[in-house]
Amino acid sequence: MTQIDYGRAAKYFLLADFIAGFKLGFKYFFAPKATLNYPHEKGPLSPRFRGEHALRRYPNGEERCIACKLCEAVCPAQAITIDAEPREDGSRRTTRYDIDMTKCIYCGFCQEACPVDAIVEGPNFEFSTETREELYYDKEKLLANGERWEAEIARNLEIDAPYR
Amino acid sequence: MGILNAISRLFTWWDGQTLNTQFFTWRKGEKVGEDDQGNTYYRTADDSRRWVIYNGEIEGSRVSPDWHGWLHRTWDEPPSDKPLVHKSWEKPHQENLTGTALAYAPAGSIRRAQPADRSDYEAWTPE
Repeated sequence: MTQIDYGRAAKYFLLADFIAGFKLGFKYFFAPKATLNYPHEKGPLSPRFRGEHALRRYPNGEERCIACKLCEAVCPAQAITIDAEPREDGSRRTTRYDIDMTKCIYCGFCQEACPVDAIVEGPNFEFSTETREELYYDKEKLLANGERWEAEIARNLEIDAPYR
Repeated sequence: MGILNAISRLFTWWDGQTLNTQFFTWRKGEKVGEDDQGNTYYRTADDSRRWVIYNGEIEGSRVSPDWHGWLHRTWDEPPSDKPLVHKSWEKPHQENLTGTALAYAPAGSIRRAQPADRSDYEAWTPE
């Protein structure tokens, strides 16, 4: 004759496990949500955030990059390719500045290496593409990024300056 | 507002905000400002949440640099109070154009009218 555990039997017939499960489910149903209503709402970003690259210009519109190739040298993924030539006025500029964004690991070494703050990683991260070739950025595209995002890049650098 | 519009409001989320987002904005939203594309920016009274109601297509990359930093909590002053410094050579903001005919294509891309001639070898021609 086996002993009957009446406590366990009562729990079994009163669906105690179901009730405990529902209790847990409803606890999280009414708890504040951890999710964001993207794209209406977006997550916090640091002024140091390293997103899409941009080539900046001086306030007078002159491009900053002097083709020193420090970013090309420091890039651990070797994503940057630079060709340089003296311009008509004799100043040294890039004729080609390509970044393969599919190689880039967004480490930020290029912007740290740059002596003239030309290449920066801006705050934009919504640059996903449908084709791979759209991520092979050339100089024109990088300068255009700089022209579109300059206001925010400058503000971010200003906010971050006291900590550098 | 026809019946088709009402149905599309109920079942789609890419042409306008969903009913719940609209309800939340109506209940808790405190309007902060509007950008040049007509997107409207809201926050709750205690500033614990900031969000944008898009004017037209719901597309995250439509937020311009002016409001981007505020929306992402990089800084707290909305550009309506403390506008960003703009330079004369800056271009207007552009959303992510991928998937459209206007999408960026590198020089050698066959989506260009005249793709740059690129090859890894020189073809042999018989004499």
